[in-house]
Amino acid sequence: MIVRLSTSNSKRRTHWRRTWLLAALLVVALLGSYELYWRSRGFVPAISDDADLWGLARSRVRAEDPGEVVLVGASRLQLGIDPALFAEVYGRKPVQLSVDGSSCIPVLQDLSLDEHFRGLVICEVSPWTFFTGLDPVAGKQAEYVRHYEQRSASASIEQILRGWVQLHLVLRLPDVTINRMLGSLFNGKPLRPGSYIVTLPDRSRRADYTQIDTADLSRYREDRTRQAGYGIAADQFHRDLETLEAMVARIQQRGGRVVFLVMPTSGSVRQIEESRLPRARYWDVLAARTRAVTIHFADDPSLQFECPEGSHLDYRDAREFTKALAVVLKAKRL
Amino acid sequence: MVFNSLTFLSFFGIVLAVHHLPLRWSVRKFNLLAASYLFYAAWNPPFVLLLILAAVVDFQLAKAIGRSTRIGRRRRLLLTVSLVLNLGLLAYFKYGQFLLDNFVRMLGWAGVHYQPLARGIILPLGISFYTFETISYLVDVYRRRITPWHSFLDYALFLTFFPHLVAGPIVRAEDFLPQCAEPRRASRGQMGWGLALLVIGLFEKVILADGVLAPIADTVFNGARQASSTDAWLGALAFSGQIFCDFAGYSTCGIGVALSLGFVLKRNFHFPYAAVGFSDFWQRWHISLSTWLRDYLYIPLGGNRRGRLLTCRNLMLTMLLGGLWHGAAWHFVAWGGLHGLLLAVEQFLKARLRHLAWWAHRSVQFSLALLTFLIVSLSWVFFRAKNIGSALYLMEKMIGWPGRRVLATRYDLVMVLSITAALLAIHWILRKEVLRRVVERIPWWLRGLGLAAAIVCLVLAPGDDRAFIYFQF
Repeated sequence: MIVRLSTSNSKRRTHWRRTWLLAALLVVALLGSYELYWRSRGFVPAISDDADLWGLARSRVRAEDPGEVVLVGASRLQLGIDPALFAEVYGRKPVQLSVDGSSCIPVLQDLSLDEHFRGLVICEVSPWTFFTGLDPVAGKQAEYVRHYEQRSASASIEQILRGWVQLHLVLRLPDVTINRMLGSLFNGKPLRPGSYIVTLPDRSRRADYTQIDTADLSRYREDRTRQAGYGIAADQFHRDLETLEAMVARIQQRGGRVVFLVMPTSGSVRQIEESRLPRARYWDVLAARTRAVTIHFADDPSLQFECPEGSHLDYRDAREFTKALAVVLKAKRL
Repeated sequence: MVFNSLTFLSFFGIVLAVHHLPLRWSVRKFNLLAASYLFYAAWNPPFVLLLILAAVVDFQLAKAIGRSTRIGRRRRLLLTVSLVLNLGLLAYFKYGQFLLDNFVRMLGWAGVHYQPLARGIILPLGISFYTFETISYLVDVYRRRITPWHSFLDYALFLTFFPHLVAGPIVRAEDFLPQCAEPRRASRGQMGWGLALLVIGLFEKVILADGVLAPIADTVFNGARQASSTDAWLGALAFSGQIFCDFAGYSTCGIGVALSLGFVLKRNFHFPYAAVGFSDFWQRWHISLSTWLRDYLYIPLGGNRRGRLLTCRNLMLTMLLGGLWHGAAWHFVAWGGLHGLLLAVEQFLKARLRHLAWWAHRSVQFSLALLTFLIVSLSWVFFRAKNIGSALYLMEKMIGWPGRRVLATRYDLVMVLSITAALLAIHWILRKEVLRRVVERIPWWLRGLGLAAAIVCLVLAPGDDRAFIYFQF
C-alpha cells in the first residue's frame, strides 16, 4: 500500500509551545479582567432559560410515577411558584415546564401523548392564550417540544456542564456576550446591569420588583394585554374546549390528574383582561365543562396577592402563594 | 456530540490524556475506537450497531474480494453484494421517504390517491460519509489498487475515527490505514498546529457562521417572499459565507483534532472562493467528496476520454448525483445540475479562450474569480432555499435592479459586506499557499495573540446551538 501523507517538512523552529503559553496567559488575563469588570458593574452569574434548559427539565419528568408534579404554563406560573417551598408543603418538588410569553397548549399536548406520564399537571390558564384560539403545534413551547424530541443522547450532559459554567461565570451571561457588546457599540446603547428576574437551575424564576420602577413596566403590561386582542367566538371556543378535554381525558385515562389554574393579576391588567376576556364567557364555561380540577385565584382569598406590575408576583409573594396553593391542592386530595 | 460543545471539550481532553498514557499501541487504538463509538452514541446510541455492522461486513467482504485471485464472476459478485448492501442502506435511510413522496405525487398526477403509512425514518448521522469511505475501500480492493487490510481493529478505526466520522473529510483507506501500523503520538509541532486548527475551525463556525451570518441568511431565506433584490443578494452572500465557515470550520476542527492525536487527514478545502472557474472551484471545495466523485463515478463513466458530448453527460450525471448526495430533495438536485451545466459551459469556453494572451493576465484572473464567486453564490440559493419555488423567486429578485432593504438591517448589510470582502481577500491572497506554512511564518507572539483573541471571542460568544450544516447529509 502506498502511503502519502501531507505532513509539514518545514525545518524552521515554529515555537508552538511559546505560542500556546502566551495565548493561555492572555486568555486568562483578558477573561479574568472581563469577568471582574462586569461583576464590578453589578452583573451576577445566572442560568439561561432556553430550550436546552427546558429539555433538561422535561427529561426529569419521571415516567410511570403518579406522584410526579409538573407545572405547565407561561411566565405567571414560572414566577409564581417556588418549587423548593412547594416541596416542603406538598411533599414533592414540581418540574417547572412553563415558558414565558407563550401558550402552554403544546406542552400539555406533549404530556397527554406521553404514554408513560401518570402524574399531576398544574396548568396555568392565561386568558390571552387559552381564550384567543388554541394551537397545539405553534409557538415557542411547540418549538421547545420539537427541540426536546430531536435532542441527542448527550444533550443532558451538555446542559448540566453549560448550566454549571453559567452559574459561576458572569461572562457567559447572554447580556454580556460579544454580540450584545457589538450591538451596544453599534447602537450606542450601553449595557445595563442585572435583570430584576433571575432564573434558577430548576427553571423557576424570581422577580424582585423592588429593584425597578414598576410604573413603566405596568404600562408595558397594559399595552401587551390590550394587544393580545379579544376572545374568540363561542363556537370556536367550544371546539377548543373539546381539544382541551381530549388532552385532559388522555392524561386521566392513565391515572394522571390535571388542574387548571388562573394565577393572580391585579390593577388595570386584571380589568383589561376581564373586559376583553370576561370570566363568565370563558373561564366559567371551561370550569363547568372540564373534568379537570379548576382553581381561580379570585375564588380563594388565600390565593389573592397584589402583582407589582399587574401581571406577575414578586418573589416574596410567590413564596406565600406557593404555600397557599400547596395547601389548596392537598385539601382537594390531589 | 459537536465540536463546539463543552461535552466534546471534556471528551477530547480525556481521549487526549489516555492517548498519551504509556500503553501498548493496540490498546491505545482500541481506546480511540471505543471513544469514537462513544462519540457517535452521544447522538443516538442504537445507530452504533449499524456502524459496527458496516465495519464487520465490509471488512469480511473486502477480504473475500482480495482472496479471489482472478478477475471474474466471483469478484464482481462480491463487489456487487457489497455495493448493494451499502447503497441499499443509504437509499433506505436517506432516500426512502423522498422516493415514496415522489411515487405518491406521480400516482396523484395519474389520478390515483394513495396515502402510505407514516414511516418516520431517522437518518443516521454521517451515513453518507462512512458509506462513501467503505465503498472506496471495497472498490480499491476490487481494482487491486490496495490489498485488504489485515487488522479489523484498524479497519473499524478507519471507518469510525471520530474526527472525520459525522461530516468528513471523506478519508481514503490508503491514506489512513498505514498510519495505524505504527504507534502514533503528535509531535510538539503537530500538537501545536492541531490545537490551533481546532481553534480556527471553531472560530469560523461559532463566531462567523453561527454568530453573524446564519441569522442574516435565515431572515432572508425564511422570509423569501418579502425579500427585495438587495435582501436576496445579502441573504445569498451571507449563506455563501456561512456554509464555507460552517463546513470548512468543521473540517478544520476534525483535521486539527486528528493531528493532535498524531493522525494526518488531508485538507478538505483550499481557499475555494478564489477559484477561477468551476472546475477550479471543485478542486478547492469539499475536496474529499469531489475527488471521490471523480475517482468512483466520473472516471468510471468515461470521464473526458470519449468526446465533448459524453464528457458533458458525465459531468452532468456526476454533479446531479453529487447534488442528490447532499440531500434527498429536488432543490439539491437542481443545485447539482446547475453546477454540472456550469462545468460543461466552462469546458466549452475554456477550449476557445484559454490560448488568448489576455486570459492569464492577473486582472482577468481576478475578475474571473469574482465572477465565479458570484455565480457560486447564486447557486447556493438552490442549496439553502426550502424548495425550488422560493429558490426561483429569490433568483429572480437577484437578477433584478437593487431595491431598498426590507428584511435586512444596516448592521446586516455592514457585516455581510465586510465578512464577504475579507473572505474574498484572504482566499485570493492565499490561494497558492498552504495554510500551515502561512501561519508558521507569522511571529510566534503574533500567533499567540491571534489565538488568544479567537479563544476569548469563542468564550464570549452566545451559546446558540446550530448543528453543522453537513450533519444532515
